[in-house]
Amino acid sequence: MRIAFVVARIGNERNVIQKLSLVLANELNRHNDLNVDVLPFTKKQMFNMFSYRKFRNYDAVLIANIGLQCAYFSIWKRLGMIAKPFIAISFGSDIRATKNKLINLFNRLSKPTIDLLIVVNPDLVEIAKNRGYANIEYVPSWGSALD
Amino acid sequence: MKVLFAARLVNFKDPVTFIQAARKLPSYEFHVAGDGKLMSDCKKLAFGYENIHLLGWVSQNIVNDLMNEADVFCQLSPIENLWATTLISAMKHKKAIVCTDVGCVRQYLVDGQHVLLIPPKDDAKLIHAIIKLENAELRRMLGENACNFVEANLSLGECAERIHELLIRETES
Repeated sequence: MRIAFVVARIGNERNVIQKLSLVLANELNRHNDLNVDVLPFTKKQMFNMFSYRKFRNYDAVLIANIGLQCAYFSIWKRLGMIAKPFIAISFGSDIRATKNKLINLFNRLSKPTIDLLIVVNPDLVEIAKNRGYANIEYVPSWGSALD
Repeated sequence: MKVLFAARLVNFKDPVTFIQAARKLPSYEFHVAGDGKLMSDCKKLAFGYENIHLLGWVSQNIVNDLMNEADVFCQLSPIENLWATTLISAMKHKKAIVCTDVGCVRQYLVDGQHVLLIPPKDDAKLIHAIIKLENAELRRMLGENACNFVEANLSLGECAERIHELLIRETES
């Protein structure tokens, strides 16, 4: 099974989410039945008209954080151009930020297209439910692998 | 004794209570590693206090060094502490942790066993907890238990295995 893992801001040392995502991708690739490719779209690459075609050869799209990239590809999925399950991992900063208009917009755009939302903090299950997400699973954070 | 706070300097992490406590404990060293929009407030609060060290953003290697040197780690969010990466790191480093009793913390971490729990935004209780942790045996016991908790419940292998199962389930459904 091939998984496209969309991770933003690769190389930004301050960004813990991308570090956690890369560690997860490596660990998932240890499974024989899984092949996870990290797709580090820059904004320029992402806004290319045909960027969604990169998902063509994958069985599912895994997305770190419900941010700009998740919202953007959700539009293509809504338009029927991507027919793959979307699995998003929320690390909290996205769905907690209920007063941030931009993040609210990203959430609204992507919510209907996310088939499964994985949250890494237990309190996020309730927060995600209140935000209207239906299929939510809690998995503890693997932050212990970062040192 | 060295006390560490490592997080973004934002209301969600509450560095202010940490510095307020530090002002009243001049015989201890307080290190704040992190940057954020509360930095200027923190600088004003820490001004003139030689025991408070505002380090700004530092790399993970330096956070690890600070963690190794610290006797006590503080995780003080008024909203939720689970599973902050720095909290997990402190647990893994066998640090004695003072943690606010908010969100789902109590479902996972036991007061006096894994951490010392205090109410949020309460510098008096934070001071009390830090003084209590002068007891080296208490620090050792909390640190050992916290580390064991991480090894038993928060390993990369287990978390990735669960995500692997979910990916398979979702893709095949």
